[in-house]
Amino acid sequence: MHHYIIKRLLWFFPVLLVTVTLLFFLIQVIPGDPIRAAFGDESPLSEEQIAALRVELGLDKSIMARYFDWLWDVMHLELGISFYTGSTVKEQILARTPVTVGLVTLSVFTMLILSVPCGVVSGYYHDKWPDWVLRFISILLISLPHFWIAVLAIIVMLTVRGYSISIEYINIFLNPIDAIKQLFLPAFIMALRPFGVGTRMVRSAILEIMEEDFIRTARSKGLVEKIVTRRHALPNALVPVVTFYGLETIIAIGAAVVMEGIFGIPGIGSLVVDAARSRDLYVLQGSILILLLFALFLNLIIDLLCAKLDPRIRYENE
Amino acid sequence: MEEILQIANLRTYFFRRFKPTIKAVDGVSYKVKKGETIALVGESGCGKTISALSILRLNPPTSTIVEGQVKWLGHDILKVPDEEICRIRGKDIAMIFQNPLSSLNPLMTIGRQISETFQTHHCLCGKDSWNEAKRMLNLVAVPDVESKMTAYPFQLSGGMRQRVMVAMALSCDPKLMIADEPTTALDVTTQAQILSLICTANREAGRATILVTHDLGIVARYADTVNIMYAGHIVESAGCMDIYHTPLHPYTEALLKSVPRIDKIGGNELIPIPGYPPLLDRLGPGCPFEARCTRRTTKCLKEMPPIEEVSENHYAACWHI
Repeated sequence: MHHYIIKRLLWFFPVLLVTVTLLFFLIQVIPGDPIRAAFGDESPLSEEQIAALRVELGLDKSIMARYFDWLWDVMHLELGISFYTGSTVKEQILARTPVTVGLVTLSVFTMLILSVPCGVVSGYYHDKWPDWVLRFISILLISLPHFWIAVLAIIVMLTVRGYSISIEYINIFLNPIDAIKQLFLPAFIMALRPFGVGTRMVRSAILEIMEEDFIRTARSKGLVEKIVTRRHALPNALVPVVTFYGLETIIAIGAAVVMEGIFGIPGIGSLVVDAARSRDLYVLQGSILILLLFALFLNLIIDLLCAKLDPRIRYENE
Repeated sequence: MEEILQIANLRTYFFRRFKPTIKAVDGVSYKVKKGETIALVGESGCGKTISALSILRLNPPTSTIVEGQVKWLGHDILKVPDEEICRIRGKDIAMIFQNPLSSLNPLMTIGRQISETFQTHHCLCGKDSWNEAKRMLNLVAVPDVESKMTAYPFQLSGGMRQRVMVAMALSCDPKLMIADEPTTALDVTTQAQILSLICTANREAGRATILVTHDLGIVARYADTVNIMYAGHIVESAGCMDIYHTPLHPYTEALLKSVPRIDKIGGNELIPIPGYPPLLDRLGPGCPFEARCTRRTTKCLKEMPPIEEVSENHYAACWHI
């Protein structure tokens, strides 16, 4: 296991470097001058003032020089300042990260709670009516786009209650109950598609495992069905399931960007969208960097968990 | 000699929605005496594996045992409750399967998989069962037992994996062992080792063996009684010598002509059986071998021949003997 962990950790850094590099250059491709964008078409600044600002912000340097400057800053956790608010990017990210983490966690939690039992029931009642009902629901949920459901939900909430959800900034640590109240609806909508996919995934994992030869061997040894399931079937079904939910968590980060935009929740996602609209360069780079780090970190966790569960991964290439 | 297992009129069918039923095992009957080695021989898909699995009700969940009796020491295994059958499986009757890699749990160490049997049937605690498992691995001549105990199945060679399966099957000293094509997935040199390991161990312990195989060479070497299966039926049953020297059923005859014999000087010409085995969901009322048979008449097409005792302890199912 130690070999695997070290190998996997060593892989983490080159991948991180490549993604960070990609991120930097992709953002440079975005058209428009960030300073002009910041002040609008009728800029109160003279050409000299703009030039001075460019020098001050380091925008006059060559692209490679800016890349290495940025890398150096990132390594020192310096992410620059916003052209708009003047506050540091780090401050903004630190304030907004808990909201997005809360949203994604709540959503993943919801999909787990819904899809694992439903998948097990569907597999257990294979080809009987509970299986048919659940399979119909999953297909339905997979086919409905979540941004559409979100808009519908807002319309329904507005007609029924007169308001949808609170859009103010709520600190999840100081006020967890209000934060969950705020985040539950978008988290639930985000969880619908993975709920559908997850139900089918768990169902097929169970059905496949129960037909494996080693399950027959376990039965032939005289183990009772309960132990066959708990000791032989479940651990083997867990590997694909863990991988699936890990990847769904990463996808949920992307979905959170859309949901925060639609519901107006002040998280990292809406920060990214706002920064991209207004060419707020450093905020954009910094907030996407955080999302990237989340994704890479989750990938690392999935890989380590799978290695923990499956010796074939653990002892690979040894 | 005392009969320990009597199988009577066993039928295992695969019922399918919107498709005809597959009659994988269709009225199989035979008896196993104490210490005897019985071979179930036939082509792939003739129902030999399903019939062997049905004895312990381990047939695939898509299939159903429609009728029949499997009498084990007087009790009908097909009728006992689930807890009871768990006490028979592994303890009285043990099984070895075809593919040792897929038949072992990939996430569990060899040691844990073998000691599990002791924990189940002898209520041994972790440490005692672990020592017992080590003893079993020594018994099946696995080298370097200590390191093999903590190894996972994928780290062993094919032969070693099958030795582990044998160790698992032998661990509770069962009275009957069902070996379902135990050497099919192995290379020829290991085949001989595994077979002699299984058969020697069983002979020494006076243990009965049901050997499911398609290899007539193995049968000639190890079996006392041979049951030839075709399309879900036993078509001929006799002592090993009788099968090889005086085969009665045209299928047995054709089968023997299609394999090389080292007991004939100058060798024999190999004659393949023409055609293919029939599809088990399209069987007519007649003899299933009719289409490929040299002796066929119109009677064969209309009516299934019953299995009858032709000479002493030699049974065959054919209208033209």
